[in-house]
Amino acid sequence: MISSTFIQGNSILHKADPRLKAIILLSIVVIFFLPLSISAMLILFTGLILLGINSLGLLKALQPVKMILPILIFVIILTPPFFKGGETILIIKNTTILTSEGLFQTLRLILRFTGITVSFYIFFSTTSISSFVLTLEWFKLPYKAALIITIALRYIPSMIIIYNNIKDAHSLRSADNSKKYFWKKLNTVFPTLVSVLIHSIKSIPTLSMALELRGIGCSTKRTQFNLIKSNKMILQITVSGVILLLIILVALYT
Amino acid sequence: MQEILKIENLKYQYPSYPGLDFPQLLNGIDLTVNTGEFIVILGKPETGKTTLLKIILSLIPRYTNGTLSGQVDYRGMPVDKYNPYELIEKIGAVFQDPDEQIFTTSCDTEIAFALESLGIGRKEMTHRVNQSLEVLKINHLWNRNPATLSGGEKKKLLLACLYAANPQIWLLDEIIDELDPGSALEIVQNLISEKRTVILFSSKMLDIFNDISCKISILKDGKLLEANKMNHKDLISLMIREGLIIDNKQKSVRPEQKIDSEPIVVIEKLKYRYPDNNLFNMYIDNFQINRGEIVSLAGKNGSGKSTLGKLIAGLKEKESGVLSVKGKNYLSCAYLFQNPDYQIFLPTVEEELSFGLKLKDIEIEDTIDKFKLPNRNVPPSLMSYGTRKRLQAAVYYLMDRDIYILDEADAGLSLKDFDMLINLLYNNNRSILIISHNLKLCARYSNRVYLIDSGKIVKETDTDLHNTLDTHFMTESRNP
Amino acid sequence: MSDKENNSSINNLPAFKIASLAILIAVTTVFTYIIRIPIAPTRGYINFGDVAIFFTAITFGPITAFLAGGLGTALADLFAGYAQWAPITFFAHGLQGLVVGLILRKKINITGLILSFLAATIVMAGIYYITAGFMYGFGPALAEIPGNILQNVAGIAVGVPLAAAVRKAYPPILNYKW
Repeated sequence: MISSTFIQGNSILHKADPRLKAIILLSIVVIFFLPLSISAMLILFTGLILLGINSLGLLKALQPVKMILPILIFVIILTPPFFKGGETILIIKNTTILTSEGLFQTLRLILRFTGITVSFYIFFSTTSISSFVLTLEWFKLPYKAALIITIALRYIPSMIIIYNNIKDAHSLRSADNSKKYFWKKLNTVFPTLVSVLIHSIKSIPTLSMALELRGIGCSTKRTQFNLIKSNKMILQITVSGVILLLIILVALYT
Repeated sequence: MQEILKIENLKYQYPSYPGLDFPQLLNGIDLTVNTGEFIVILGKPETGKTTLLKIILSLIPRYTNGTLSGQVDYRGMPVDKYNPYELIEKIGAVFQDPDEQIFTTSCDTEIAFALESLGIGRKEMTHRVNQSLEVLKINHLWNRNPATLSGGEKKKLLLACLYAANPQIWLLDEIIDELDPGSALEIVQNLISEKRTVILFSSKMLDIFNDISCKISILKDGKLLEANKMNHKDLISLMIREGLIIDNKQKSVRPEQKIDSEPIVVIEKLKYRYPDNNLFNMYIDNFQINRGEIVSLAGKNGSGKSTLGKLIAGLKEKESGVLSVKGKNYLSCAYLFQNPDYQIFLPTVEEELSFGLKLKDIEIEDTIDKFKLPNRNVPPSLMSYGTRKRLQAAVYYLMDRDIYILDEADAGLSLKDFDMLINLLYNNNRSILIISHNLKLCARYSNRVYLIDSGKIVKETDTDLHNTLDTHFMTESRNP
Repeated sequence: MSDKENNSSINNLPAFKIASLAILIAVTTVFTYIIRIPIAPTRGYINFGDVAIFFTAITFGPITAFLAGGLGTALADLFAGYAQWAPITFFAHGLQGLVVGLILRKKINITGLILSFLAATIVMAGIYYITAGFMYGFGPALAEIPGNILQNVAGIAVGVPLAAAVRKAYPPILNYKW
């Protein structure tokens, strides 16, 4: 289902407090941008992959890598030509293809980009989107913004269904099946989009009415029904702290 | 017992648009509601029930201009002095379309929403949410995503929201139709035993109103007529005239069918697998529509009737089996979605009618006349719901297809209008497939009805025998 | 009882602003994630996210386009599995919506359209280029630029006619700007 990034599971990360996960995620991004040695990055990267396998299984853990493969290939091809310093590693017919500096930079970029991608993927696969919104609120995202995002998430799946119905309705109108595929598609796409937009925009005042009837606009301070569920917080905080410390030590091991 | 809502000489007319005039909708509504009363307001579609509801909620004139006059007082205070968000504990409502009022992704959050706005503490909120789930018997749905609920379950969810907010007056717009009879009676009886003040709007006279103690009024020509001030015979004939009761004794509404022996739709051993439904697959052994015939396909919500209709129209691909649709054009089916807005996108009625076709002026005028459409330069998106439905039918009528599949097309249309549409679309010898959950409606126009349940045809029968059919068959299916 | 709001300006109500943003975010996400046209067998797809952004900017104004465009495309990134881009996408498309909304605020003429197209492309492709550059190198990051330019072409080519068509078909939308 489209509006779910969440993959069911029972691993440690699934049960961990989303706020801690968010802090660790941010730290990982920052650390990857520091001048680390290749070995430090490798250790960090391996750790992430292992964590991914633990939380999501091998197949799913490698999914993000598969998705960025085209970019990685680009990086491998286009980085060495710009970094020709250091010892030469590979020469073909008198042209230097790869030097040690080129290798260093390429590895660095690949590990960094893949590492960050995998981290984000693991985070969003082990955190439901409603927990994520609650986490944002805890980090001081204004209530209204959280409400807007929640409502948008509620409307996305039904809008997809309506889009498909509108597409069907329009396809029945045009009897012309002789035009080339691309132009025919474009021809039905435009009216479909107009109908989709009219339909969506008409629902704005209706939604506004419904929101007002449930109290939006009231000056009373709002209370909150949903809380972030957290078990064994002290244990979680300690473990997270230790992990961060370890990462920093590894990073300093240059 | 004291007066809680007083409506005096209420008049309202929607704002006109060049070429589009709206009639005086409410023309002197008088209504006094005392605490603990259960009031039923009956009215055919477009008589102003929802408009009246919005005026009581102070949403009109806030959201729509127009001419409003008269008094609506809640406990002596004019209702338009309140902002709608101040009415949570005073006047609450459940709209006709539940999707308009649901905006969270979990049922318990939905129920708690209004309580959060009131600033109620978490302990109290949790208590009220649990209580509401209990009363409506939907405890098992507490953390379900409302999008996965059936129509009836959504209505129960919205009722639970009202229970939690606990307003003094409950306004319910067409909630009974989608609930199964057992639940509907229980909910209504609960409300009465708790001495709640309720105004229930409905476009059909239902048996349940006879079983409970309530005051019935009929909204007609902008005024409220009290049922207990009329004698029984007059009341019944009024209800029939207004389409609040379907009386099939006058078979003359049905177009005379010239049925060919040649079949136009033939289905044999059809298999279809739903992409995200593991409950059942569709298997249709035998299904046939002859040229010139009006056939019905009846089943409860979720039984697969829309899916079968879409398979016939070519909007879905069968897995195996025979599905043959014979017609003169490449596309021989017209599929009228329940929502008439799906294919409206042009700025004028004229353009909508002539899209993709070369029409002469006189043909356009003729169609506008036949389908009772307003001026040809009016934007369709501003027309009333019923008019848009007639426009939808007119567009397909002009496309001159061989088979017309109407999916719950009677929703929001008065019976008279629907009669008119069936006759116009039939146009002497087209084939029509009526998809509905209302057996009486099916019997009104067709001789043959196919009953479908869980993707399989359960019975094919003569509609004159519909009274002997198990009416519980037609109640809503339960989605897991 | 608080003061009654004027009924001719529902677009000032907090509930209306929340409602319009929520719906437009949903529209943008659906346009980005679901609606695609194949351009050629090899080339891949154009998504219609930028179309939604141009549409929102013209019909609702710069602030709405910033928020709806940014959040809508960021959500689409999350669902598509490109979560790492989401924060960047928010700014790239959000600012894209903002500049288009600001430029086309008063009226729509040829100069406005050309200017907004250039501004949108520079802002959106520019932000993506710079951040991609930091992420995996400025050389490889160049590969994204042609695609992003094409997205903006689609955005203005389809988004502007859509805005015009919707306005004609549903006139009340003219009052929804805020």
